[in-house]
Amino acid sequence: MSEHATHQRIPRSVATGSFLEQDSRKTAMWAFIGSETLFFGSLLAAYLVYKPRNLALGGPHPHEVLDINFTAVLAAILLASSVTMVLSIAGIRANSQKRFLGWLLATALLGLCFIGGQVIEFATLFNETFQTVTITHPDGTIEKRGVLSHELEHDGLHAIEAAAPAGSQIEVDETKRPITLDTSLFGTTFFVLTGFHGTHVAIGVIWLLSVFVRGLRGGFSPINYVGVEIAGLYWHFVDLVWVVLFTVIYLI
Amino acid sequence: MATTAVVLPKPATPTTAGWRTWLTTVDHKLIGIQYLVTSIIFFIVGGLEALLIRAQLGAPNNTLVSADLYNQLFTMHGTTMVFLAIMPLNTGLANYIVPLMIGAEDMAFPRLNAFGYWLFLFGGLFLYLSFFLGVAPNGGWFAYAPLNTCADRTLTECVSAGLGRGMDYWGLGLLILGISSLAGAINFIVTIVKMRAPGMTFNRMPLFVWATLVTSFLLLFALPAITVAIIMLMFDRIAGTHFFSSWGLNPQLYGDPLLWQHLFWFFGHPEVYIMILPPFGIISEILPTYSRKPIFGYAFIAYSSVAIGFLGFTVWAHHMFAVGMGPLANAAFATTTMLIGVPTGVKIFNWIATIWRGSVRFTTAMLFAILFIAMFIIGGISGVMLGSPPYDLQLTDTYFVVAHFHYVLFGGAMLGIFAAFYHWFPKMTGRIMSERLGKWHFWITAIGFNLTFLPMHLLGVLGMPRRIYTFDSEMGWNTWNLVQTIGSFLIALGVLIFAWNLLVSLRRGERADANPWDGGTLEWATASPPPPYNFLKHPVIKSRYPVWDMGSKVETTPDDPAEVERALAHLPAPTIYPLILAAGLTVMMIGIIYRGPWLAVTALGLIVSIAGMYGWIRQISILPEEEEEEEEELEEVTH
Amino acid sequence: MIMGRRAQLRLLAVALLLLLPVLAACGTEPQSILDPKSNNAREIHNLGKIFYWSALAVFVLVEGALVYTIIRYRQSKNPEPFHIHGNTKVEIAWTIAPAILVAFLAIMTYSTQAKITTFPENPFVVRAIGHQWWWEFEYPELGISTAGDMYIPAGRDIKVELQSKDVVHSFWVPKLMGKTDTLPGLTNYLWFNAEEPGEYYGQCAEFCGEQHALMRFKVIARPQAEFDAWAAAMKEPPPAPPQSAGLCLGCHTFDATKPSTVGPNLRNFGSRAWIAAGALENTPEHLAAWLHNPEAVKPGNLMSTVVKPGVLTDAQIQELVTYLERLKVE
Repeated sequence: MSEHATHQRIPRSVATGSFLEQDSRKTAMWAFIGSETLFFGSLLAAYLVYKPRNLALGGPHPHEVLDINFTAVLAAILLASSVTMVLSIAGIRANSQKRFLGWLLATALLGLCFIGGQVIEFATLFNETFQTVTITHPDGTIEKRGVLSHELEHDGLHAIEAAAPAGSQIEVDETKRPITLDTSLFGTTFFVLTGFHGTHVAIGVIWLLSVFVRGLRGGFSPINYVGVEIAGLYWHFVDLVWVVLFTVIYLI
Repeated sequence: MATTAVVLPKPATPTTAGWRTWLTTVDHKLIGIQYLVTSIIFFIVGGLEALLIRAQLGAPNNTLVSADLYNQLFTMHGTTMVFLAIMPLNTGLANYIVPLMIGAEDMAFPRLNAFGYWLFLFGGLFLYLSFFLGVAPNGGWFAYAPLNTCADRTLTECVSAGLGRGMDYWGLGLLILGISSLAGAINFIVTIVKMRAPGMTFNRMPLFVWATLVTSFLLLFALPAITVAIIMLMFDRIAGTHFFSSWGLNPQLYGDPLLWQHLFWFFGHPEVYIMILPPFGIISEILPTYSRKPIFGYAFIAYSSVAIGFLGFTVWAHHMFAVGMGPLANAAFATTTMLIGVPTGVKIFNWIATIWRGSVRFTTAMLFAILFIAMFIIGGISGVMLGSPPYDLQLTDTYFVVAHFHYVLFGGAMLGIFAAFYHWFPKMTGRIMSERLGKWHFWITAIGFNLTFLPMHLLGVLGMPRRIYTFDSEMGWNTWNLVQTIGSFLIALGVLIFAWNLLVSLRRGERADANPWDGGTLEWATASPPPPYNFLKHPVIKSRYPVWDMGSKVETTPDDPAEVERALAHLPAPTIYPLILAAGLTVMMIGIIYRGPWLAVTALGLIVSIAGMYGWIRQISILPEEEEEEEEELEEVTH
Repeated sequence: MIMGRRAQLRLLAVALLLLLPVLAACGTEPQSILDPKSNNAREIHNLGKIFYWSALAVFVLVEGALVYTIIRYRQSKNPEPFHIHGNTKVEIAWTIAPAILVAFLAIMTYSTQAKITTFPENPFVVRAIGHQWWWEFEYPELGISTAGDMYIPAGRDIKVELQSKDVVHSFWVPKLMGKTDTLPGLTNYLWFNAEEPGEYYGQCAEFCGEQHALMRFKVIARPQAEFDAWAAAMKEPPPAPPQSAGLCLGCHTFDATKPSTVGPNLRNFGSRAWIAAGALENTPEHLAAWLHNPEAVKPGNLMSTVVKPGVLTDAQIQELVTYLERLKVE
């Protein structure tokens, strides 16, 4: 075996410097993450470009339809899963299969919780309806607002009337539209963007579980855990994307 | 030789490999050849489409093809030449040559490499499936919105409006090809960054390797833009979202057609450099070889590639000067566009200086390289003219633009690729391509190319728009169109000779030794064709042209059979799973196009994909003890 | 050496020969950009001349250097190569040289752009609306609308408002102005001053679907007085349509003061040179063929979803042809 090792010819790198000595798979993962950053960047750009347009065309305002408290919990869950991922890798480094596998499973389960939360969020939105209220100001400018139907029924137009300048004409579109992919630019951009993030989380969960199964069979050791590391890299990236999405969509 | 106990490995060449090898190989050299052969076939198909286009435009008011067929032809011609010919030709060459140039055994991820090839092949076949079903994409290779979105319309309305499923094939096909390119880009980056021979610093890397590295980074950052754009387009067409639609029925919902253009060109412009940078690298290898003189200004050429790569991401909206972005935005993009002319100019001067005071051998490869420079100069000059917004308002979307990018992509990229074929064919096959046929190919191509594309500048100036299937005889365009049509058939004759040359030389070409052209880079140190493991011993690289500087010391002769056996044992085993996974992913797409009950096909594709992925993962992650078990099982079976 | 010079001269001769037609033959073609007929087209053309001369200079210099080099240093002439890896001074020099040229061209570009994008005060406004596949022209100040031919007063600043009813088109009249796209949901603008009366050809320049090639139009510039007379005549109610025109009225109108609904306004159809945006010359025979089966003439057009062969009888077609050709406004 040792004789074999002296003839080991792949992969070999000349130069020095830590990143060059990194495992190839990790380098590949970093490159992939670089590409994915632009993937989410483009989707997010579309969301941001269309945000004012959505409002101007009478689409629903994100802050009025989204349950920020609920998704804050989801964000916390996903952030926690990054911590458990770190603990899992610390476990395998310390040669503790128990800690490694336990935290890994916890990470996957937290990921599953996040997906479950997102399913609930989407379902809630699908069941909501909104209506477009057109406010014609005395000077002739037209303003549109998307308002949730149940809020309209509950509060009526008082809040809108109070906010609009005196003498404005207010008209409510009677068609109730659900909040889905095809009813507003908000729906279009929001569901595709967060949906793709959710898909990434789902892929991550499957990946973590397959690492777990392999780990159960003794596939990793303190000197051989690159397979865990790259799954972890991916997982941290997906978490980071959510931090950005949460900030941009829900908080700003 | 006959007395040695161990049989020396027969290098698998195009002529000796069996069909099983072709399906399962993970050898970068065989995969490179698969890429090259497949993309030459697509190149010929794309060329036939071009001939039909030219035949239709040969005379005014011609009725050879219908309007819709004409639109299908130019859409598929563009898509084919970009995604199925030039890009994979570059990938194929790099696949074969880059590991040899840097002294590596293979690519960093041989299975991923095979996966990339199979996705490319199936993606291409998937696109062409539409042709056989009579619904080829007809919305332009740039697929502008809202022409190609279907939101606010039912599927039947879309189909009756000529927005049939063709563009679904286009979008999903490009997604498949995008995954293939992404896999390739990551593989090249890791290979080049991590697997160079001892002593080969970045500063000693061959310029073709530099070009491949920059191209891979461009792919990495440009592909997501078109992936996202196509995903949005598909959502608009299938799920009724409103990313780009403003076709009219519900103005309360619409998105902005310009978002498509921005996303598309954010990819589309770097894409131009993705196609042209590898041929820049090829030229930078060929000129020194046949001038017998090192490249002039190595650092300038390498860094100008990097500069072009960066600037390439800042110029996309020069494709959109006429959309009404406003004078400020137009001026900004004009500035970056003109700026990018500088590093490109520097390259041309360096190439000429490389030939200067050299000893020039006019081989076919060298002739093509010289013609490349001559033609690319014209493409560069017209590019600067188009970069000026006021003048571009007159020239854009006319035949002047068609002339410009054919001077860049045919006069540039394709001529560079032809040069590469003549240059590296001996390395790949052990035989030299016929120089006599090569010279015919060269002169016919040179004349045909200029007959076809030089008058296009003029036609643009005379006001002939692009993408029109017919024109009136009173427009003053008749003569030049006829000249171009004649020229295009000359090009076709040239390609025919080239294809014939490939076939004939493969069987009967003059035998080549390891270094028939007296090249200086590392690929010329190993046998022609190279053994599966490429190199046995690894020389320490001390200069940019190791073979010139160290002579026969770099040469590796497989003298010790035991060593050869060990080298072979290290190579990754052939595998069928990349093919299965690629096939599964492609089958999934078919179901998505037709939906309804056809989603069963998608489910089938998903199952195949999962099976492929499972097999693949199992293969690479076999635990040490399992490996032993399997060997035992094997023994049991064999006994 | 002598060979080299001769080859260089030969190359120069070839280059000039190839450029000759560009410089000499152009101008008579109806869509040539080398024959500007408006202030802005001329500005662009003047910028173009700077580009052409710079291009020619660069072309001759660089191609000349290339050809000289390969001939002078061919193997038989220069068997031993001279080994040199580079020369930083030279390389800096030839980085700066193109940079200076490009900077010069950029400055010329900005100055021309400033001129053509500065809109004049009190222009005459025409709204050009792209449809698949024909052009509609509205005159907001006059309250009239037409299609196919855009009438304008010569010698006046014209501001064109560009809109689209469906997909992206591009409004282009090469002799009057560079093209600008028409986008659904957005309005773009361009302006020019056609100094002389005349007819100028235009064509959609952005691929817009099956019949992109047949989306042509004309700009007809007339002296102000003649233009005013034309506008006044357009406002006149049309002659009473025949019974058979009922089907047409679903999509068309014969009254220029009413907005077009689906198809082109036909008030001055008889004065137009073309049928279906350049598909056919406007003759009674062609019009009859068009009314019989529009799909055969221009596949994919919207009218053929209603007017299929046999929908109109021969007698009806004759009646319509007679009526439509009478709709002249001069």
